[in-house]
Amino acid sequence: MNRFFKVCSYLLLVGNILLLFLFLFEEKVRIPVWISPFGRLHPALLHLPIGFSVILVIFLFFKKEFEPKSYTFFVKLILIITAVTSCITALMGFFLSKEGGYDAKLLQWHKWTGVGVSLFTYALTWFYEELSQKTRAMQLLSAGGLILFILAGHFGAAITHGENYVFEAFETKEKVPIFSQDSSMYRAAILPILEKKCMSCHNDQKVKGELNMSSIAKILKGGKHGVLWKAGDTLNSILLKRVYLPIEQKEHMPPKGKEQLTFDEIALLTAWIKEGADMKKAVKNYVPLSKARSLAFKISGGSRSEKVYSFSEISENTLAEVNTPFCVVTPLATGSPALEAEFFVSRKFDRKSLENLLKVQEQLVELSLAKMPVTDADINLIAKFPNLEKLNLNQTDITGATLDQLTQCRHLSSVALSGTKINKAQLQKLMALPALTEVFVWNTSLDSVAIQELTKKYPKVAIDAGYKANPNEILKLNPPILVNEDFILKKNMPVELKHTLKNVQIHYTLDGTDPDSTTQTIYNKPLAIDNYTRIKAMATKDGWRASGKVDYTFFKSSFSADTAILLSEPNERYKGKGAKNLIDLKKGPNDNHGDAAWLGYQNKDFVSLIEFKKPVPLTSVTVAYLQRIGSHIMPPASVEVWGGDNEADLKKLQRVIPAQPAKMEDKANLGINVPIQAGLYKVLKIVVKPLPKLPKWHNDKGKPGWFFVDEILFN
Amino acid sequence: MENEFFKNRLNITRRHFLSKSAVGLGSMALGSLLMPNLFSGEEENLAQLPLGLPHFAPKAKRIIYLFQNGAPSQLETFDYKPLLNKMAGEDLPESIRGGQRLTGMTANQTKFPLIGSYFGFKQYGQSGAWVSDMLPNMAKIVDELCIIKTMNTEAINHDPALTFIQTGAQVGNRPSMGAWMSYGLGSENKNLPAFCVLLSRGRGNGQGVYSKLWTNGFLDSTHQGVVFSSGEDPILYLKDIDGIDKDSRRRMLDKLSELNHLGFEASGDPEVQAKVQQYEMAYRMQTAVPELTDLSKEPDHIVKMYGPECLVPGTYAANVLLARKLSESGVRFVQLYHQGWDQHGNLPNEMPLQAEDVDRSSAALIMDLKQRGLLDETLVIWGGEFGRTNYCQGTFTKDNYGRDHHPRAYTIWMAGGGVKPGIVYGETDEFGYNVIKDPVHINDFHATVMHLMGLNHEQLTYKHLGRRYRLTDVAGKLVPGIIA
Repeated sequence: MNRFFKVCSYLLLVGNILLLFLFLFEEKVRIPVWISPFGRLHPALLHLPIGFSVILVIFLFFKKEFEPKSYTFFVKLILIITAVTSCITALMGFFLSKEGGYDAKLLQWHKWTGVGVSLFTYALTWFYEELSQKTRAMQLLSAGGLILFILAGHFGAAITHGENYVFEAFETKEKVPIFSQDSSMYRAAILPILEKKCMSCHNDQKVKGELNMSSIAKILKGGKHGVLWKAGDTLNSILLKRVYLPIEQKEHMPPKGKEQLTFDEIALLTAWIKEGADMKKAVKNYVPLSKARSLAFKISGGSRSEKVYSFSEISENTLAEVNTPFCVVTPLATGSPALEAEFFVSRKFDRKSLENLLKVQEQLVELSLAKMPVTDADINLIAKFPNLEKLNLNQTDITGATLDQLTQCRHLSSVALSGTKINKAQLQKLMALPALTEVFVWNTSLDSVAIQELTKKYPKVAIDAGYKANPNEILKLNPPILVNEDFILKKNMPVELKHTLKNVQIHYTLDGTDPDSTTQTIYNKPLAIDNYTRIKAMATKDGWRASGKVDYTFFKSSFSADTAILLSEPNERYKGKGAKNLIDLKKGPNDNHGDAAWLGYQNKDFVSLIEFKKPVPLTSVTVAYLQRIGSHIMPPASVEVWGGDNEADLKKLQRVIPAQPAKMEDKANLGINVPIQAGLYKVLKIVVKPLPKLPKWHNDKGKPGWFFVDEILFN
Repeated sequence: MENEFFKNRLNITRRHFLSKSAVGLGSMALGSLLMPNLFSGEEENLAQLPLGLPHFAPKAKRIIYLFQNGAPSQLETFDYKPLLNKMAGEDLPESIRGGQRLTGMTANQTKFPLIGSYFGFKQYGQSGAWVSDMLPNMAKIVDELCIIKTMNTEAINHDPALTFIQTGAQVGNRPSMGAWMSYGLGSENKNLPAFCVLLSRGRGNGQGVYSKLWTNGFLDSTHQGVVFSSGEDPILYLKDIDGIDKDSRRRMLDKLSELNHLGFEASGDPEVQAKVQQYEMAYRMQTAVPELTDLSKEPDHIVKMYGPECLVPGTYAANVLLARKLSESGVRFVQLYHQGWDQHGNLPNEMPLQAEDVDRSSAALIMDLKQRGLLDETLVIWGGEFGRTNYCQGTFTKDNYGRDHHPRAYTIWMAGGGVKPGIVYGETDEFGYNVIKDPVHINDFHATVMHLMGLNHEQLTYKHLGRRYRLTDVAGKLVPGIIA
């Protein structure tokens, strides 16, 4: 027997130190999964120390009935067993507490008293030898221990059964109005808020601020500061003013430290007062679009915060089994047993992949099958998930014929059916689902009449019909889009325009004038362009406002020259890549004249010699230049083209004086077309004079202009 | 091989799990086993909580961030200040400016003439929020929006301000918001990147965007933002080249991955693993992406909803539509940038063009998510990097003016995913210069966005160069006032 006592006392030492230790470092402790069953035995085991302690106390009072030796032995035995079971119970309780979800204050008390019990009984085993002689002291201490037991037990019971468990039957239960369509909005939705958040201070017993809210008449009477609300006037209703004040202010209601109104509750009170604060109007008599009505439904239906699920967690292996790259299954959050599944990539979807999810049949609460080729035959599979809450079937291939099977999912609260072929009758079969709060039916056959009817019949379900194009809203069309990527057209390359919408007319001009909807030239096939051309285009379409304009400049290049040399050097800063720039068929950017594609000249003529290996039949030469008026880059003053068979024998073919802009214009890539006498040419000389003086209207009038060239083209 | 990505994620949680479930009984020793970090002195190199899952039930699963690059003026969009119109031309009182440091562009101005909005304002919706006449479509959905008028930042120039709001620090090379989300929550759809970036350019004065805004920083490079092309093909080089069929591509990748694993065994460089994963991702994207660009399942009136430009690749509207499709397909974080909001001058002429670009499609996105039942799980954010001054920069005339950068107060909005709809949060003074109620600092904004995504901003950390980093670094408070 001594061995037993010895083992027990070691156990007690170890157990109590562990208990204290855990208690001290409570915040850092993480409980491994395998311990939790031990923790959960706490509620069962706790009855042992209670029972033993009662036996112990009874024993103490019947000392005389026993032989001293056996009395001492029994008391010691029971005391040690009490201490050991107390300690184990306390440890288990500690583990259980880490699972969370208990009232923090009660839990704290329960922990302190529980640890107290364990330590107290342990201490008694230490001093037992001395105390066993002093009956009185022993009785007192045991009685004290019993009180500790009762306290610990009380707090523990309060945690699990609620604080008023024992005397609950005596309490007159407040009648919680059941939310119904027929009761008044006030009774169904407003009164519960007032009862919960206001009446603890404003009742028959406690009349703070002379306001008593215990009956409608008394509420309407108001308090010290007058009546609580003015129907329809949210700005001058005292109740709302107080609620909206910052919480730090003394007048804020409910006062700091009391349970505050939630956002929805505030919104409901506001909406209800705004909509007339009618004390009698029934919920069903509010118009469907009433904000108060929808908030009332929201609050009465969904007041629970975080959901607690009763089903068990699945193993990591199962989770790995149901996951594929095209079906992703994840817990809703760390530690949550509930799962959501989403399918991706419609080509990889088949019924089997959905069947695979039955391994987590119980745990699945959210399922998204949007855009998957789900058919009516698959609905019976979906109906097999008993705890499904949220289902997304947007843009699937279902027709709705088997939708009624989903009524098996009693927890289904949100169903998205947008972009499917369902109809009203089929949807109606779903609407009676007890938990249903929202359905999404955008882009289905349901029209506003059908939705109104359903809303009337099932007011608890929000039906979202989504966006419908307003035929009276006239939008501006986007401009035509250019297909070409290169602005130099070689050989027979056409200019191609397109528009992203169907039945659009593209109006265009090639003469530099601005097109509008009356412009008769309509684009219907790619445009063949035989020379330097500026194309301006805009789009029109019935039911739309005309688009803005686009403006593109195209250069035509029928013959590529073989060599080019510069007879006059460009400006130091804008030398580009030299003469080869002129015949490389690469345009320079119009927003950066420093780009290497450009050659810049100022106060000096541009003179270049171009050669073909064989004579070519030419009719025109195009000089491509830059216009950036703000940077003094202007059209040239004149362009001369000389031609012949060799350098020594050139004739002046043409001289052109380009038009100068008469006002500020945008930056642009432009060109000057110089028509020449048709003939075979081998060598050409181009002479360009930059503008000697900026025009009078220019901010820097009188200063010399620049000439920037990137290409010379031959046709 | 196709499970590679997923298995890896499980490995992390399993290691974590094992480290927690120490076995054994015995007083102190047992206790310390329950506390893996108590005596070890060395922190685990993993985040405090398992990666790849939200820490608690999230309000939002995905984010679409409509970033208005260049900083749209709050005074012409959502923060209506009639006093500025009354006091037009008068100098900004020094008591209001309160020693605010200025940019090099206005620091030498001798006068700071106040100027009110050129555009009218009206109140809309149940919330009665003021919205500029420039944004008629956003005004229509104002009851879905949570307008925050008191955003404030520390930076006064674009680069540091952009870097701050995108990465939580003004200096570069920290992971951006999207990378943190990808790191903390993993990808939803294994066939697309968890973090995508879409760029567009408006007609107003623009500011640059650069890859440090979507960098993975010190995180694994799989978390980097993937920039989509603005051309017809949002992702280039996805098609198999001529003569290479799917099977040979598969064989090539398998062989390549074997070689890479040899390389990894030799060097131990985790970037090798990241590379293997990226090849796999690209392979799976070959199947997933064509479905994304497919418009055949969308009804015609989607064009009217988002505006006709939504069909023109590279426009903001097209990016918003693509963002919706990406988000719908499980992309955790879609980041848009629309350039052109930097109105130092010519504001009355440039801002309407910018507004025209973004108004209709931004509003359409909210409606579109809503009608698909996705708005409650998708957080949409609209806004820039800072605000603009209430005084004129440069030459002041009644109908043409500009505004410089202003860090102390500016407006953004959020919608969907767990934010309160139909509220205006925070107040600025009558000059629109200082916050007088409920400020929201960039760090607070990050903390709140992370909270909405089910992440504790203090617990999502990464150890780098000897210390642990967070998106909010050492600051950031939740803003409960905007959380539904």
